[in-house]
Amino acid sequence: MRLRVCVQCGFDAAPVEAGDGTPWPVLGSHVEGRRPILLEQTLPADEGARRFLGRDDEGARYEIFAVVGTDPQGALAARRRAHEALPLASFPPDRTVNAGALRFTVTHLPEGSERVPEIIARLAELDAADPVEIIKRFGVPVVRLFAELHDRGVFLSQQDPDELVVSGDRCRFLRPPEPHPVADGPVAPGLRRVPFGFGAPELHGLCGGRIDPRADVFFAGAVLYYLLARIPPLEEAGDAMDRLPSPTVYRDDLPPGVVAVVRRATSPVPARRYPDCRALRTALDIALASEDARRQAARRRLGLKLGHELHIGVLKGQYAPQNQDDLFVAYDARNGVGLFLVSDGVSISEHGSGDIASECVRIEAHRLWQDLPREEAGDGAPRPTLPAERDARRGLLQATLDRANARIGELIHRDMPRFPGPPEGIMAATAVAALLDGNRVTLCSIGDSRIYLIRDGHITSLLPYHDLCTQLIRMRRATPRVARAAPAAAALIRCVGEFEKDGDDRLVPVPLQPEFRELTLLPGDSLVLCSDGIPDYAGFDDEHAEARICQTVETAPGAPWAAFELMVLANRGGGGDNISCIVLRFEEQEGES
Amino acid sequence: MKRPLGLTCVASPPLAQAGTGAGVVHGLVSLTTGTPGPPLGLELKVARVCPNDRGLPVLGDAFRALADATGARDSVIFAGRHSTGVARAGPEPVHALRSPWPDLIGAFSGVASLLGGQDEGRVAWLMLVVETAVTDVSPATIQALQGLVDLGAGVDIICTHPAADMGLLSRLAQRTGGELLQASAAEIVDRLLRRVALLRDQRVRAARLEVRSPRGVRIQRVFRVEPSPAFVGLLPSSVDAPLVLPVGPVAADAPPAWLISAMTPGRGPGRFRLFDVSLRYEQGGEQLGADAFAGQTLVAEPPKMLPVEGAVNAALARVDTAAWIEEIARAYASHDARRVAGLLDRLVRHAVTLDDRPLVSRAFDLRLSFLRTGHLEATDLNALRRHGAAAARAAG
Repeated sequence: MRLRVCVQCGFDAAPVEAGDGTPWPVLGSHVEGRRPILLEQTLPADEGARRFLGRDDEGARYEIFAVVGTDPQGALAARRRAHEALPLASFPPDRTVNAGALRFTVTHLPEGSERVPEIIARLAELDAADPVEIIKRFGVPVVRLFAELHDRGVFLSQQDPDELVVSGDRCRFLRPPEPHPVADGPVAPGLRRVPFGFGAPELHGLCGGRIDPRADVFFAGAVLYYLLARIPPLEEAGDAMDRLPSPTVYRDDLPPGVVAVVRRATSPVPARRYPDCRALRTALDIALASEDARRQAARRRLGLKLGHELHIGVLKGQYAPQNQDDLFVAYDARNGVGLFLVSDGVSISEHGSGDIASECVRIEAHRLWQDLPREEAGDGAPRPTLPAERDARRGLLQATLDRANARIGELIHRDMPRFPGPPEGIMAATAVAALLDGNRVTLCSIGDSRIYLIRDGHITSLLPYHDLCTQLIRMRRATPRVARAAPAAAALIRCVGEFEKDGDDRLVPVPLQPEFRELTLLPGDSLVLCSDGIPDYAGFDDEHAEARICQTVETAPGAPWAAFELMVLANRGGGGDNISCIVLRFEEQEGES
Repeated sequence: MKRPLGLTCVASPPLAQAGTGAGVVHGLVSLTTGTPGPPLGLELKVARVCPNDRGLPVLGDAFRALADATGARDSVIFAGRHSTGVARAGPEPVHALRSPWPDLIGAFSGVASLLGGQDEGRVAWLMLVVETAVTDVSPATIQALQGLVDLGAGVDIICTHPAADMGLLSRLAQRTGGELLQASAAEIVDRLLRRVALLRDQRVRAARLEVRSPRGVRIQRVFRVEPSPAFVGLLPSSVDAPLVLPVGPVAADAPPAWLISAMTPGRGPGRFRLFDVSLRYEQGGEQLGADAFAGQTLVAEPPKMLPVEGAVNAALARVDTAAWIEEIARAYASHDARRVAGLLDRLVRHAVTLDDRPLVSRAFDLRLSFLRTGHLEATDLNALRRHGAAAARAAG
């Protein structure tokens, strides 16, 4: 018997003939029956069987399972038993067809059925599709399927997205899965096939290698991740050391609550994921409901509690006496208009210093607040107002950052009217800003400072960072693994302090390119604007740090207390960088419900 | 036929794409325990040594308690291996050495000459207590140790000095199939008694485990995974020579296992052998053995599903803890503070993936203390090693 290596299933040799010399069906051939079915695609199968996807002349889709007529290993019977054990997890077999020595089991797939990889591949082309609708239509059925399995006290130790079919609001497996009872405990590491991009680290034998329902959580989370990011599955998914980059790196304006759920579900550390898919389903439902509420919320004022802290950092202060962070806080409670800004000066600069750069940003923020149009109010004091148009609000922030950039240039020019060499090594700063107007906020970021949204025990970083690693991933120039290993991966590629030179060697400010985002706020939301001194030192890694930030803000009795606790948290973790943060906690306006 | 020992060998990744150049593979070689057979009848023997040996351990109160329990009166204890036909009663002094052993070289050389003068195979195990801050060994020490290995004697090193280089002592013990027992004075008697009991319970003798790789597959490093993870670092003496893994005593609940990392050449599609392993041993005067091999399939197209050997990867993650800690020790010895801080950070993240909170806290605190003071103590590293070993045992 001639053997060949099977690429589909990995390492098994696939005989081209069944044991008794009967040739297996090949692609392009037909299975005869009431309607001939054209075999279009091969599916992985166990030894002694073959599987195909096919289509009849009316376009209906089928899964075809073929064994030799005697079926000595009872493959057909085993398959039926598996389906009957978990009928909700797979499609019922439709009919049996005998053709010579072969027996086919034909399973009809409902109209509109799409396999998960096909959906993900197709979504990459749908730029305009609403991410919330995509999650509801394709992601929720997948999560619901695994939640049902976990409800029944079983989990899967070997998942395959190729086997998952979404049809309407249901999702099922093409082949009845092999479940493991949760009561039997975790499955030990061993030889198994792991799908690229969907396999939890423990399936690879990492993180202790013990497989439990959390592996299913990772799988369902990975499906949601690709639906949100609309990228092909990442080979490094399941790498124990690094988590997947936030989907917001790939696409703007993703629903923050759903992003937070997906990030927690795809954590490389099993203990940080949801314990099972029931919890994942609950969290996803809450996040989707919050997103619906954001979309339906009318413009109104919310109550705001705010706190802020600025600290040099206990370790940083030992060798650098200047605090290079700065912040600006202004809020008019009468009409709910506010401006909040955190700026982090870049430590290493040959011309000027980071504290001066961040001060420039703060001064311009102050100027913006002072220059906002005012309207007379009943109490006699004019109130600041913001333009209703999104682009106009963004323009205000853009102009502020550009003016800060120009101010830095003027300071350098004062010392060096003719700038020698290329315009590098000039003092610079990052900036994150929030322009609040009632329950609507315009967010802006340049550099690697952070804006977090905290809600319902979940935390999301709302805007991507301008470091080299993130930008390489964002521009699809490198996979996350390659980007993280790039030299100077943490180097800032955008900040306030970017210049060109004209013909007279004078510094000319470059128009900055910050990230913007609009967000409708709900009572119960908390926003944290902070420099990287907090997430870099608040935990064992960035995921742990974010979890601790979330917990700290949610459990603190008030916003000032939360800001203080964040500062303490970063100092307890080392305090190796300057620390600045603004905590905004939004509540129902008194008198409203 | 019923056999007391079996052998398995698996490699990871079992499948890879051809034509992508040289690759890295890992092999997990494990002994399995089967039908045990009768114990060999090991007895504890005592060798009298010169009382003023400065390099040899000083007996503390705890060790004296052990001596009382075992009948040993001096600081070197031998588990004597007798054939079942030659019964000997009770522990007794068998040799007296008068030459001083100023350091480990002297200790190993002296014991080797002691063993060399005995009947073949009579004495097979040495327990050496180190109570000094050993931080370095010379090539001559390694050579002296090799003399013990050639005589078929394993060495357990019991270290009670908190500032000794436990990584180094562990590697020395590993080379002979022995173990480094890190124990406080309060724990040492219990640890030693358990170890002696294990030695006495052995069912096979003259066990030899060899790993051969075909030409082109280059073994890079060797870790022991079971019973506790540690870097062994044995390499074949030449391209064609087999890698001989020191077996040591085989416990039924944690039979020994090793992880081997190797480089493979860039090749076309096909199936290739990576490791051929053979185990030979003696039981009841009969020569027994087992063989195993592991291979890798290379395919032309990228596979859609990735076959993984979870057991190998899990073992790799476990030994990585030991590897990170030894790397930190090396970086600190070379005064590379930036690297020490970076490695401590990586160790924290590695421990996080193992979900070992005590090790995470320990490494995190050490990192914090190092960032603040720039100082790291040998005792800190040893504490980290103990935590790392405990974490890896728990993960396994």
